[in-house]
Amino acid sequence: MSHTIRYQKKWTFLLVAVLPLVILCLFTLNISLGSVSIPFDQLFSAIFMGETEKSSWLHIIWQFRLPKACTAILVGAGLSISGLQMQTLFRNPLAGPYVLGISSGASLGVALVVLASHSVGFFFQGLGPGSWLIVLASSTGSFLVLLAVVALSVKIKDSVSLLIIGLMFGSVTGAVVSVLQFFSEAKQLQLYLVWTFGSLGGLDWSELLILTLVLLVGLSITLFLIKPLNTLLLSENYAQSMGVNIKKTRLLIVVSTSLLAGSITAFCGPIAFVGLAVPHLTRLLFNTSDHKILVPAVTLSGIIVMLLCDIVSQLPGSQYVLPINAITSLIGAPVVIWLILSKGGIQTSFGR
Amino acid sequence: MKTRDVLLHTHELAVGYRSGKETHIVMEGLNCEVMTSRLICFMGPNGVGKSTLLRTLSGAQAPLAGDIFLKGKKIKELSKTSLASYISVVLTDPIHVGNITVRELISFGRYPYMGWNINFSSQDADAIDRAIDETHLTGIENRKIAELSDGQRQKVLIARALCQDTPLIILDEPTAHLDLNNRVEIINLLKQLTRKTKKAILMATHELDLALQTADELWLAGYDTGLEIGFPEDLVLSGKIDTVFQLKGFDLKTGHLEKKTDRRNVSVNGEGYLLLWTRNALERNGYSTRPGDDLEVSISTAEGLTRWNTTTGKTFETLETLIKYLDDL
Repeated sequence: MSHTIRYQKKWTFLLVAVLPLVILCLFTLNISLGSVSIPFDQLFSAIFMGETEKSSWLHIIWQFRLPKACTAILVGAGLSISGLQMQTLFRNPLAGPYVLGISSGASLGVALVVLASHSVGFFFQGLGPGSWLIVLASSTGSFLVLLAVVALSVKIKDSVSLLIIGLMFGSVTGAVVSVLQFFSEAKQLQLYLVWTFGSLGGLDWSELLILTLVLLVGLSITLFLIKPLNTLLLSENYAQSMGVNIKKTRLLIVVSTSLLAGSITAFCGPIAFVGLAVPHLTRLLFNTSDHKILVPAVTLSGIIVMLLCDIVSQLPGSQYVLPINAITSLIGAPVVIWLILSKGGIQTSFGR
Repeated sequence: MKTRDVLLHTHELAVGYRSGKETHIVMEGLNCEVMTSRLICFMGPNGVGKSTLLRTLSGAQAPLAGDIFLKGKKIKELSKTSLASYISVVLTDPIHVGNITVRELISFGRYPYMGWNINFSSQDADAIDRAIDETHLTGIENRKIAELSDGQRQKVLIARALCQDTPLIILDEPTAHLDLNNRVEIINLLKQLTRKTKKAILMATHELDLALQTADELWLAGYDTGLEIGFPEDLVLSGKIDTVFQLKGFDLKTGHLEKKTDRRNVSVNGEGYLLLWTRNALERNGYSTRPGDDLEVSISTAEGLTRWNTTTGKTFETLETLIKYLDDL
């Protein structure tokens, strides 16, 4: 039988058995840890029977730990997949979900609400990560940037120009945010700063449902892009010669990335590093650039990385919770460096 | 008896670029035909618009005027997918991916025929196997692209085009940056393919010598000569190649570089390749080699050793020492 088919069977076991099992273990570990210690058996009775010895435990599990763990899963999958798409579209290993300026747009929206609202004389109560006003502000910001990028992506001939335009958007919004910060007071600054740290907590079930639906749309678009993404590995001209409509593909990639990264940034803040690093980790581990394997593998690896980071950020056994943004880079960067050193470089993913 | 069919033809085609309001015409008034099982070499100096014409013919770029027909159908009326089942390409674009295997890259050629989930049928697997076999890549099909030499990589790209299973393959300078051995191998491979598979192959190249020896047809594009199409030898004899390339110091009719002879005449007595290379060495160093009784060198071979004897009574074991002796005379 064909080698192509046999080759793909090699990874199927890892994809359908090993990685999901790891996810299940990490998910269980994730909800069993926290500042309040809850016995393991009570965990299961809370989830499956809906009752615990102390009623506060039920509340903690259902209202805090489960939503947070589910958020970690969504964030890990969504950011990693959008990072993968950006890296392939731009054939650039430094690309990530935010290169199109999505997080810059979101941060401008949030900065306007949090920082500028004070200057015009009123102050919103209860502004925190996940609050509706913040979500609205950041999704409006990223949506406007996304609209501009989509409009440009239809007009522009080459993808590299799109990359540079995204970077320019980032610079402009960054500058506006600095000006806003300059005129703000300490309290607003701190609020804004807390948002930039990123947070997986703070989503209730209805917000989770919205995030899930948006991410499902984004991920389904990616499924239909596996073939074009593979041909883009060669070059845009080759892709075209194999019947791929480049402009349509570029538009779909931009839309999918915006949905994934935009909605995550809206609810959880700009979570760094995961989208950039997980595709590299996965390519090194699976030793291939074939998107038929990479798309499921990156999704699952992203979930694993995010669950792990969330576990570490809770500092098991302590009362503190560290900002998730710091943890993703703190444990992610050494892992990537170690993998690059042990596998002899990532130049084979994108170079000759 | 008709053994070849017209695969592609153009009608008053004009190619070039539109940038803003300006239109830059590169070539116009083109009426050409591509027949099945033909190897066509498309030649011309740099910047004459070879790539532009190839891009237009392959449907990657819209013509400025005129029409292109594929088996009688207008190319602009074909969908991108059905166009991909007529024409496959090998481009000069650098390949940015190293971390896939030879087999995987070749299998991309089957994409126009499959759905979004990339399920290879046994028919697809057969086409991939055949492409690997025809390009002599058996044995390295599971290697990663990054591990290949330039020559092997080029063969993989040709195999990818082959497995796309199109009647026409268009190649843009497939032998650039390759050593002589690989250049000959690639051109021979393409020639064989036109014979075995009835495919038409249109390739832009700068290899004048190889093209003259293998092509069934030459397309010649010059800066102000338009597009000349013909049998290679006819184009040589009519002097059209000289006009297009404005050859400097290369005598196409003898196939040699023009040599300046500013030294004495030396007649050479010998045969076969020994004679050929002895004359080459003399001419390269400025001696003329007409027959005559001025000074004669005779070549002799005994017990596997070659000797050069001059009429002045000297014997040399290498051409280098012979030339040195002549220089000092």
